[in-house]
Formats: sequence, C-alpha cells, structure tokens
Amino acid sequence: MTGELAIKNLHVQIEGKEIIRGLDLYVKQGEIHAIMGPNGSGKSTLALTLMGHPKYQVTQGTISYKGQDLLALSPDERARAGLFLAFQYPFEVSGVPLSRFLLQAVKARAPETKAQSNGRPVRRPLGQFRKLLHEKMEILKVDKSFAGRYLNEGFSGGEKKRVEVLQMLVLQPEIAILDETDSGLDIDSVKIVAQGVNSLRGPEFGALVITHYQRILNYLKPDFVHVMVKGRLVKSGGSELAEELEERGYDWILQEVGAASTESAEEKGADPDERS
Amino acid sequence: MISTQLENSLSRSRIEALAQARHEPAWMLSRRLEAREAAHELELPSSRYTQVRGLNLAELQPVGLDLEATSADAVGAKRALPLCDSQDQTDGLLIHLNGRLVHSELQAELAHQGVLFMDFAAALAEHPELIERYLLRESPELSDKITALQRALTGGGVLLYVPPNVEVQRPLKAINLLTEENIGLFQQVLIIAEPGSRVSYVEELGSLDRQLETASAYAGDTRVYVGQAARVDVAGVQNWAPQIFNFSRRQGRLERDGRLRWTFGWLGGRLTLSQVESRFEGPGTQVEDVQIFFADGRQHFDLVSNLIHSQPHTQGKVTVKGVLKDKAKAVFWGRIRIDPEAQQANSFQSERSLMLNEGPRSVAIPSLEIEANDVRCTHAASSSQLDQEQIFYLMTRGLNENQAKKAIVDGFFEPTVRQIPLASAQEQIRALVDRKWQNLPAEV
Repeated sequence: MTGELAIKNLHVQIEGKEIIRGLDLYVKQGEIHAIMGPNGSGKSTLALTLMGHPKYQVTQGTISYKGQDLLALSPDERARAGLFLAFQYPFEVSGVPLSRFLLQAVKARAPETKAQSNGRPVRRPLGQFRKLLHEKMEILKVDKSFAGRYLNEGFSGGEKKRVEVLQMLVLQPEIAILDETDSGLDIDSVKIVAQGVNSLRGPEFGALVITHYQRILNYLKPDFVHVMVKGRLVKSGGSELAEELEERGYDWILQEVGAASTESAEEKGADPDERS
Repeated sequence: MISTQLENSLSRSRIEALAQARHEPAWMLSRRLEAREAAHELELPSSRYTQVRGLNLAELQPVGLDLEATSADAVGAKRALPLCDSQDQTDGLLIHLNGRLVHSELQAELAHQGVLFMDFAAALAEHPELIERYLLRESPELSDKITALQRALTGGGVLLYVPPNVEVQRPLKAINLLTEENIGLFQQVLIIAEPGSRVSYVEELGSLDRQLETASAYAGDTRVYVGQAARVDVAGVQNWAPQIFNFSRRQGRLERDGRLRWTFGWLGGRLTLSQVESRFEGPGTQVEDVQIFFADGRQHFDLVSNLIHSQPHTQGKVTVKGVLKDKAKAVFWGRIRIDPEAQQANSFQSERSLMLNEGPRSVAIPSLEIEANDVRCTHAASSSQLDQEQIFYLMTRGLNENQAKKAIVDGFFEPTVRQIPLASAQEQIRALVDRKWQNLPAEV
C-alpha cells in the first residue's frame, strides 16, 4: 500500500498566535512536493508540527499517515511510522558521537521496518551499519571523521545540513520533510545534497521540500510545487511554477491572492488547486 | 561516659592493645592516641550547605583492626573475587571486604623491581621506616571528628611504593567492599612514587549490590607523593550502597616536574564529603583533577578541590561535572591558592551540572587567593536543565523520550569521561551511569 501523508484543514498556534490557518496537503510515497513562499508564511511551523514539536499546538484539522492519526503520536512514534525531518537549524548535542547516535536510531526504528517488510534489512549488525554509513557519507561527500564527532557540535552551517541529509539516507524514511536544507549551501553543496535526496527516490520515498530557491528543485524535479502565504497554500502547480517564482518573485501571487488574507476568503484558500 | 561500640574501641587500652597485636611501631601508637584525644573534642564535619545527619556514629563498629585471619576471609574472597573480576588488565589487585584483606596479587616482575603493593596494616609491620618517612611528613590537620577517628582507628588500607625510574605499565587496583551495617571502615592509603617513576592506581568502593538497612561509614585518607618527574594517576570510583556515608580526604604533593592526575566517579552512598588537595611543591609540576557525579534521590555530594601553587611554572586544571535528579544536592568548593613565589602558574577550574528535574540543588563556590602577579587563573561554573529542543531533535530520529534524555546525559559526561587517563575507569564510569539510569523510573 502506498502511504499518504494527509493534512486536512490544519490550524496551528504557537503561544496563542495562529500561524497555520487552514492548510490541506497530500503527500504520497513516490512524490516530491516543494513548498515555497515568503518568509514568515509558516513553512517551518508546518515542518515542526508534522513531527510533533511540543510548542506547536494544533487547534483544528488532522494529520494522518497510512490512515494513522499522527497527532496522537509522539515525535519518536512518528519517526518510527516513517517520517523524517531535516531541520533548518539542527541542534547541537554535545558528547553524542554521530555514528553511535545513528546506530541507536536505526535500532529504535528496526521493529517497525520489520513490520512493513518492504524487503529492507531489518536489523543491521554493526559491520553492516558502518558500511551503510560510509556509503552514504560518500554520496554526500561527508568526511569519515564526522562519524566520531559529536552531533553537529562545531559543524559549519553547510556541514550541519549535509549531516541532516546523511541521517535521512541512513534512516531511509518513507516521507521526508526537508526544511530549507539548501539555505546557506554553496552551489556544489546544493548539488550534492540533491543527489543525496535523489538517491532515495523511488516508489517508497516521498518528500516535502521547503525552499526559497529554484536551484535545488532543478535537481530534484518536484512533481508538485505549492506556494504558501500566511499559513495557507495559495497556489499549486508543477515545476514550471518554481521557475516562474524564481523569475517574478512572490508579488504577483500576493496580488493574485490578495483577498486570501481577508476573512471572507478563508474557505477558498483551503483549496489551492482550484485557484491555479 | 556512655559505653558504645565506638567508645569501647576508642579506649586507650584498646588502642594500645591493637597496636601491639599489629606489631605497629611506637610512632604509630602515639599518632593513634593523639588522634583519639582529638576525636573526643572535634565535631562532625559541616559547612553552610552540608550537615551529617542520620549517622549513628556511636553505634559504629570499627572494622579491620583485628589482623588474625579467619575462615570468613576465605569465604569473603570467594564471594568477592568473581564479582570484582574486571576485564581490564591490571598488574596488581588488592581486595578488602569490610576492612579485611581477602585477596592480594602483584605481578612478580614488579615485586622483583621493588614495587610494594600491599595491605597497609601488613606494610606497617614490614616497612615502618618507609611509612614513617612519608606519613608523618606534615600530616594534614585533624579538622573534624571523622578525620580524627580515621587516624585513631586506622584498620586496613594500601601501601603503594614505586622505586625510582620504575614504570608500572598497567593499573594497580584496590577494591574496597563494604557490605555490613553499622560498621566504620577507617582506611589509610599511601602512595609513594619515587623520582622518574610512573604508576596508575585505581580504587573501587562498592557494596556488591547489598542494600543496607542502617548506615555504615567509610573514612579514607589518601596521601600521594609524586617524586621528581614522576607521573601518577589516581582514580577512584565510589559506588556504595545507598546507606553509606563516605568521607574521603586526599592529598597529593608534587616535586619538580611531577605530574598527578586525579579522576573520581561519584555515584553511590548517601552523603559524600570529599576533599582533594593538590600541593605544587616543585617548579614545573602539573595536576589534573577530573570528577564526575550522578546524584539522585536524596543523595548529597560535597566536593572540595584545592590547588595550592607554591612554586613557579605550575599548572592545575579541575573539571567537575555532575547530573542531578530528584532532591539530590551537590556542593562544589573550588579553591585555588597561588603563593607569591608561584609566578607563571596556570590554574583553571570548571564545574558544570545538569538538572533532570526541578528538585535538585547544585552550588558552586569558587575561591581564588592569588598573591603572585604573573599568573593565569580562571574558573567557570554553570548549571543547566535538560534542553527540550535537544530532546525533540533526538526523538524525531526515533529515540523515545527516555532514550533521548539518556543520550543527552551520556553526552554531557562523555567529553569528560574521555579525559580520564585509564580506559578501564572510563568504561566503568559509563557502565555505572547506565546502571544508575536504569534504576530510574521511565519518566525522569
């Protein structure tokens, strides 16, 4: 069965302030969706809410994956259900070596992967894990010495982003959310990271890529591009939409959907497909 | 005078009799008697943050004073040995069970080279001059009742002597087990590293998983002499049963270019008072003092580290790191003194604690006394809570909340554990932290 991450009429608050205001989105395994949009439109809030960050409060709507209510699950249960988030600002965890941590994460996820029995290895002995890790490090051109370094501690911004993708490649999620993974990366790094993501592409891998730039999308070739404004998806299309945004910016969309920010347009804003 | 266990043991005639039975030199007897007098006058140790409560001192039975071998020793050894059997390679092993030596070994080649690694009581009878020369050299002041009792009623302990230029490759280990209630274990450890020598001494204090109904007390005095250009590691892991009161006092004295590294892991016991004093008595001396603690329940650790720089070009570094939970309490006194002659001293101390909930208390009291003008001397102290963002980040990778917290705690300790010079002590501290964590309820 192809899994579908289904987000319906999502409303999210932080400290009493509504950030996401009626958002619908469906991401199936095998599909790549891009979300673009001006700063402050709620993209990171969406990413963190999908993983269950305790500060974000869902006041309305539902999030489910494979029919399972994700809102009832803790972040680790969501991870084990197949979700992954590459953080925009990964946290440093001092004293926790990357490889030891990843091995623990792989083990923590193992029982669920067994249940799915997608032909993936269920439990990897240590040697196999090391081999997998080194393989993935090679794809992302991450130096092997990083395996023994403490998680994100003293990493440059670019190294942190690559290591986020490295974690994704090792953990092999079904649905990955990449929150501005390309921000702050040089041209070569964007390409490497995109290659990493592409290495997972296939019928079992879906992704939600949050970005400000078309560049990474040139490599990822998303199936769908959505524009998020003020907590809603206001426009959706194919790759060509990203190109248009790169050329023309967001102003024209803001004008086009200017009414969307008023109360009367709330219902219409919830269905971006009709708009485009 | 109320006749109690302790009073009986402290009687003049009892002390004279035991000194005779143990074939102790005369100076040892006068030392005991002097301390006996002081024990009657001095109070229990205390500070603004630490009081000794719940220890019925009068009912303690001092152990390890009677040297006659008993059949119980063999039984004790049989019981203790397999449990102490550590994977790490040692060049010598001493095991004391409730104050009695039950096992002793030393690599033959080292013995041949003149290395002594033996029970302190036996050493007193066999090598009185050696002990006299060092033990009586400027003895630390008897500051409280416990230090006086320890000196008056010294039972067993350890003598470690390394002749000039002898390098002991692998650690020498002393295991000290306290498994009985209402006993007082008063021990003396004396480590003498002659010029150019090298040695690692590892001490383990534990209770073989015994839970005691009523309190027992351990008081240990450790004196370390680091000769010219000698290098000494002293590591100690304290994992007593929860009812044990621990009083440790350690002093290291270094001669020119000597190096001393202290490493302590504090996990068990009810109340721990520890003093570590490092005296830089020669130029070019270096001391590192690394202490790790993990306190839960109502455990209380009061740790003192004292660096006394009296000579130029000396380096001291103190790192204390602890995790606290429940209603535990930790007090760290970091003292640095730099005498006027001790120019170019470099002295640093840091104390960091991590709280797992709202209940515990951690206090750091630095005190710097600097009389030289060309020195570097710094201290840092911090106390933090578990970071919810870090927990979330780790959970998004599939670790449950408990695993995520444990990973952060391990990570908090890890860089400091890696500084521990002895691999075996590193592993042991990691393992004990694991065990202690597992005893904790799932939601911390």
